Amino acid sequence: MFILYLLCMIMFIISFVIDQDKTKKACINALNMFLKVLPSFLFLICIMSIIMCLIPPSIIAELMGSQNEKIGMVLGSILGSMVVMPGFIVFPLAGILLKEGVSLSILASFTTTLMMVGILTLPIEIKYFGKKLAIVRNVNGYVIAMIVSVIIGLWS
Amino acid sequence: MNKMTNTFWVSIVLTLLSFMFIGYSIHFGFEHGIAMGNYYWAYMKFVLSVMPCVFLLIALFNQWIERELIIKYMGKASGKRAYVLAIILASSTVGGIFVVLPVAHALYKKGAKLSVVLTYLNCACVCRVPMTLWEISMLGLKFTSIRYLVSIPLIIISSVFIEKVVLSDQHFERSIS
Repeated sequence: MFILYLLCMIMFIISFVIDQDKTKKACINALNMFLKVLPSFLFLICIMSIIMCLIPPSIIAELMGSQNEKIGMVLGSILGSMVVMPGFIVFPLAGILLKEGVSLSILASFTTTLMMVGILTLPIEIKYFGKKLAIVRNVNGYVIAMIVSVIIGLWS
Repeated sequence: MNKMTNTFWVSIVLTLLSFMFIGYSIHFGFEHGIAMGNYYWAYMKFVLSVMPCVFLLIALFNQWIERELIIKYMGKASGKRAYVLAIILASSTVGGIFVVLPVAHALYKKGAKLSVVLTYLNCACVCRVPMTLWEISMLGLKFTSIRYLVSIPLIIISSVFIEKVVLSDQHFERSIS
């Protein structure tokens, strides 16, 4: 986080020293871009926190841990595509689940779909890249995640 | 325009409602409401602290970097190096899909090849460095290395394939804002 601020500041200062006019334009553009997507971000934050409230990590742990491997993998991937979780919750959760005996392939399907597929973030993706590409990319991400978790299951 | 203002009002109303709900939950000690408030705060902090920085960097990038430069290194005529570049760029990205999407969009607008943009987009989900370190410490080195070795080639192959399929559709260019 700190690195990002530092980078931003350095870039801004360099740009400002070289060409004030361009920097001014860039600032206005940045503000416009931010304001344009802010409503959908706010909307998404509400939905995300409601979903995290309805499906808390403890329920996710229970769902993935109690089934056999194949069902667990499918459940994990479905949950992973639905939920948007920050990293500081995901990996500690995955670590705890591993200690409780949940297999690596289930965890792989969960963490990989969590990162690559986002049903909740789809509206924002559509805004940037259009309906077709967004849907194709998400389906593709799901398939890759499943291949990865099957291979991890074979290996371990 | 009308559609845009609609999302605007819906999001404002929803935000106010959730503020009210969280406020009441804290006041009356309603557990689920407080949990929701915690998540809400975490996400909000992220969006309000990281996103302005990211958009400023993107805007500076748009102002300073010449289109020709991106076309040369990531455009239609660029070779395999473009994918390596995309993977390096992706692994150094901070933040989730919210950060990655605008960056990918800016790259595409500057003339990068669609398959390179897709490689960046997907790799940024799979191999961000800070996230990887965390993953290794929790799930083990073997897990992470298998995941990398399997997913990166798959991502590149599928990106090239998707580019071919999607670009055959003539309406596609117009659908990207």
